[in-house]
Amino acid sequence: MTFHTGEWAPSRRNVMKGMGAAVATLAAPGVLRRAYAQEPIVLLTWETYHDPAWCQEWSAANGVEVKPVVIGSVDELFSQPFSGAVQPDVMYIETGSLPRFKEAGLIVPFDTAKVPNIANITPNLAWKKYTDVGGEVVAVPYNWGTQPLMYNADAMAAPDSWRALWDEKYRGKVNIFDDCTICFPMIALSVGAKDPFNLTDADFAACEEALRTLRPQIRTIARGFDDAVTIYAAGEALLGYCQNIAVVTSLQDKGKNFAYSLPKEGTPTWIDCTGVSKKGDRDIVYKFINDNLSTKWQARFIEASTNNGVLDLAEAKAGGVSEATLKRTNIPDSQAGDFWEKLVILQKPEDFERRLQIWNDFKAGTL
Amino acid sequence: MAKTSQAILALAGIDKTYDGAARPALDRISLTVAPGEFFSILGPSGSGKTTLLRMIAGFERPDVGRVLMDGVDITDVPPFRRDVRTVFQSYALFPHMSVLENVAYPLRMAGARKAERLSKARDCLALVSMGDFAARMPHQLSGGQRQRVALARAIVCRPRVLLLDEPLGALDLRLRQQMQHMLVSLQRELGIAFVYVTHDQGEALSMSDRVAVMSEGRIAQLGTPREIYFDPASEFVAQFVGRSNLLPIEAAPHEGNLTALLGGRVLPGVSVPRSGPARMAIRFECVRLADAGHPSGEACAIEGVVEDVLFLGNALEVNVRCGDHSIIAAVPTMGGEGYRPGRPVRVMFDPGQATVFHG
Amino acid sequence: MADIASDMPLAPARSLRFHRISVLGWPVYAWFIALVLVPNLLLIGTSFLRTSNGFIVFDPSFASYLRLWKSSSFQFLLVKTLATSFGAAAIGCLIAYPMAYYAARVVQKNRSVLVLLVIIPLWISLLMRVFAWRMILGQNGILNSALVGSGLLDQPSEAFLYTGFSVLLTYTYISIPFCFIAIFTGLEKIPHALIEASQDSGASSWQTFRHVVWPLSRPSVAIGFSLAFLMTVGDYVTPSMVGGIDGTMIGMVIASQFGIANNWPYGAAIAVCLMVSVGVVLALVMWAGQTRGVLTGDEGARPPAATHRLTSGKRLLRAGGRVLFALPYLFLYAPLAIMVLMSFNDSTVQAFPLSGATLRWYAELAGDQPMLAAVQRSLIVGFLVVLVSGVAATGFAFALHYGRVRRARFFEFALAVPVAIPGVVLGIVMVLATQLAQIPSGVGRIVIGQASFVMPVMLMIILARLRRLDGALLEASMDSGANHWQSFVHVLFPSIRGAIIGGALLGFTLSADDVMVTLFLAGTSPTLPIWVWNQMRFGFTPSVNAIFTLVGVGSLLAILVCNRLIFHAQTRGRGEEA
Repeated sequence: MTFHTGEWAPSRRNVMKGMGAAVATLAAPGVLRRAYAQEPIVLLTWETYHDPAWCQEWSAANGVEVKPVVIGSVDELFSQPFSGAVQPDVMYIETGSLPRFKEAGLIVPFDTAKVPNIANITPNLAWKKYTDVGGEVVAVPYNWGTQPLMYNADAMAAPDSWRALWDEKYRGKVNIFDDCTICFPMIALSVGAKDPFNLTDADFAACEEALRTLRPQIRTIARGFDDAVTIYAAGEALLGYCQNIAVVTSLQDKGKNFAYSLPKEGTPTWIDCTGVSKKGDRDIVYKFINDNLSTKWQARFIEASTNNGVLDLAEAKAGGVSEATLKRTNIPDSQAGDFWEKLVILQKPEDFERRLQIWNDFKAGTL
Repeated sequence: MAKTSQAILALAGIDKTYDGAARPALDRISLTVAPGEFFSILGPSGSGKTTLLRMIAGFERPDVGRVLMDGVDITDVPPFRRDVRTVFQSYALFPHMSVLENVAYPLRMAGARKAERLSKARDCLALVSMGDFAARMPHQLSGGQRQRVALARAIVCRPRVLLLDEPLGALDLRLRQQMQHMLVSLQRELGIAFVYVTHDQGEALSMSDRVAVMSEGRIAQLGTPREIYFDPASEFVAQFVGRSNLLPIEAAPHEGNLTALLGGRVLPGVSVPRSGPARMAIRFECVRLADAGHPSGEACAIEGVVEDVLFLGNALEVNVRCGDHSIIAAVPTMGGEGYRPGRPVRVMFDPGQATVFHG
Repeated sequence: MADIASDMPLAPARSLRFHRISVLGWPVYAWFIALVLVPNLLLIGTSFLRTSNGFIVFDPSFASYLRLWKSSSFQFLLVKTLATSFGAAAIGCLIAYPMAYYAARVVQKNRSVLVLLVIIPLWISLLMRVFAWRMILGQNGILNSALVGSGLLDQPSEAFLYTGFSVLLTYTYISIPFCFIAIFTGLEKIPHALIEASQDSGASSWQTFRHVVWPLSRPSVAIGFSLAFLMTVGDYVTPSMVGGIDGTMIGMVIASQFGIANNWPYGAAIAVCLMVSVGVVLALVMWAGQTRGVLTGDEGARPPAATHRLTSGKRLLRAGGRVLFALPYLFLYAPLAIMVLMSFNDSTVQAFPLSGATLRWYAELAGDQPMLAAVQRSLIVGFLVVLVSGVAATGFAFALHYGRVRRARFFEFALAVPVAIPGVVLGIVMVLATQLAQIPSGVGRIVIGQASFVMPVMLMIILARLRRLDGALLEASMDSGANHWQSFVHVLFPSIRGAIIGGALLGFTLSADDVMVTLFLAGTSPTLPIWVWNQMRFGFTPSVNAIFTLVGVGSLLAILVCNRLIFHAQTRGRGEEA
């Protein structure tokens, strides 16, 4: 851009006109947006679960807009609808939190009859036990995953116990993530609590002590999936509690030699289930959920995200998931019967507020 | 330069040109100020008088030339080490300090003890009759009061030279007159040399021992008020100081002598140095009016008709049309009642009071 | 003239005691009640309730406050939060003061450019800048690489990132522009004659600074300090990004009470405590910063350029001054440079070492629908916020200035309360209020929430201009036969237009970069900063770097063009004068 002083002198009016035109151009797509007949389906979902492209494709085919809102923690998942900031139709809730969502009136009983594709869910996943709240099914699985111990394989051999996190050698190099709901059961397992979801006072004392000694080990605390990848990739952490094994595969993609192991004390495992709100109790929403459980949709989801989805190995293969991708998921391993014995599926804790208080004190450093 | 030894302040050959300016702000300025003298610098705005003052204060440095104080070269001495104080045009009172603190400020900077500086500051405030306002803040004062506080602040240390930058510019007539009297008596009392910058010739003439008239960065004339007033060295001075008629004349040989002619009429007695066109200045109050045909005696006389009359209180300004020229005469109000537009009159003046400039 | 007077009940311009409730005053009262009084009362009211099984029980109780009183972790975090923000604001002022002094009183040319250069970084998302700090301070970051490379350190230090130091550093980084702007304005207003008067009185440069410049600039330092303090005290996003586990701040606890813990009364109680503590700190700062007297006249008359020859020592000193002056700019622009660098880096991971150059992030921009939607939404929100705030602020300024509001002083102060509320608290307060009014989340909520703090800022700027205006202008206009409306259109509006445009620019900047308040209000429609925040937690794409690089380049160009236009207008104006 060159201006010749003296010859080029736009008047203020011209500049204003230009700005007005620019504003109009910017606003136009908002005004001219395609109008759908029905109210849009608002999803409170997790990263990688609902690619905008997939949603648009479904919207175009079914004539209803789908708006995925990505949240970063169970915390947000609860607070957004509860405060009214977002009024979702569908939420993806891990099993341990289902009772809380039910009590708060955020989800309504789930009409399984409207979702025939439930049949596609692998029989290995004993989901019915965990989605039953007060005698009613409130959700159906969409995805499951383990939260193992991840480590830099260049720096150490595969640790077999959560106690590796407390190893003095790794002081300042341990990472965990900022989610009380998911971290606390791991701590409980590491101190050998009998039932990590029904802690006794003695268990609580042991957990507090464990957290107290864990704190000097920890310098970084991941705020989300991508944050964790960045922290490990930058060499700020060598081992830690893994939020999602996609962190490990993503690091491997970047050429970093990371791996995960399932410790002997047990590995917390989540099942993210689809729950519908009162507003979402509509046929079109059930149709969306049903389509989400189709082999085609699930296979695409597994392929794109290296998540486990809910398909059985054979179904996944049939759906077109590549061998390379399958190897990175838990799906082949989960065929073995004893695999599930090492996993601890998240449940409703005995006293969430007490756990949170301890967790906040832990973060503040005043425990 | 022999006088330098007695002078409290001397400027020698000062030149100053600002960045990007076509003309110099100061052009070969030299002058001296004697101890205890009231020295005025008079000139229109833009003539360089404020630059000159700032040069003395130390806020500007000359491109060429020296500033000497008591014979000592202070050209490179920063302002806060010069025994010179300034009363600023805007007063520049510190808004966050009380009147007393403002006045005590120079003493504080000089390291005086608190009790001493407060008592001195009080004395000084009393000197400018501001004793009752010591606790006020500057924004609670009127213009005249601020002026007096600024003055007190400047004299509290008894500097040897006090610089005043158009200090009365923002005051109304009555206050200005009061302040003029106060400044003169204060200056006598303290014996400090005052360098007073103004564009008001009345102020300069009434208070000063000597006046330097400045024009376009140069000194047009330096002398006592009388010399400046009655014997202007140039047309510029004549016009700027006092109120003068400027009449175009022709100097031509007449009856063997070089004589001045105004519109072909001979002005006897007006001395002209050489022939050719020239201009003659004659002050309003040096012009007398009489009935047409009145005997003129030694004086020059021109016939004319009254065109208009301005009433100034103690005097009348009568504008008389004499052929192609207008001549203004200032006459006392008493006895001037008869001058009405249309009345034919005779304009007279002493040739000795007229000054002729060629150029 | 008589008919005009009977048409329009005219009040003399400066009769502040206008003892009749004027229609013009009603919007002021309405705004105050809707956006200040009710929301805050809701917050305070909530803090006196209690919860049972996760549900709020409408039963007055001090339970939350009792719990706070007993909680050592709350007290620790509150003190830590206040101390960190306080320290950062103080360091920010220490750095910004010499900079502002240099820009306001030493530099003669291009001062406006120097000021704009400090402001430009504010147009790049704060999150992006904070994120870049991670790359500078980290294990494999630039700082460590440089230190190890130069042999100062044997191995990369862990002391720079994920420590209290990194939080203080980034907070300081955030503080500097706000401190700078406030201090610059204050210093620029000091008439040069006062400094000369002080030197003339025998004060050395240091004494002049100590006794004249500093006391006169102290109030603006207090304002800059307060602004910076407010910017950081409620911010829990920044410390969570660079502070590691030690970056836990009180804001996070508040947010978690409104979120995962679902204990609104407890969260409200913490918010009230934070608000009160911040109020106390601000009051103390303002008290400490006050200076007696009134600075009359708004000109900071410039001395003519000093052109005396410099000795080699002085030249060296001046060069040194320039270098010192440039250092904070380096500090301000270092993260932006990283961001630009990363926008060309061929890897999705934001870490060193770099892995090759690419333009694909720019190419991907065009196809990234959600981001483009966020950009578009940010612009629409910014535009609406500025429009609503601008119209309201202009109207309110006139109503307050021309005495159409009872207790104008009180309302001027009260309307500005949201500015003094930490972002996280204001966000919650606005959620409570919009929830009560049944305004759905999204653009509407964001606009209301942001306008609550943008409007007072614009109001302050316009009022300041209006107060400097010659009071006779309105009278002169009406004397010439114009009615109130005509006077406004032809006389008053043109004379305050500069202030309105300046306020609008500032308001747009505030709106475009707001995270804390918007986070609570955005719902399904994220603005660009919220979208970036989500990106940073999951699925970061370097396209974000690309878009902000474009924003940065765009703002720079806009400034250059504006500068050109202003310069042009000036020379033209001068030509007409001559």
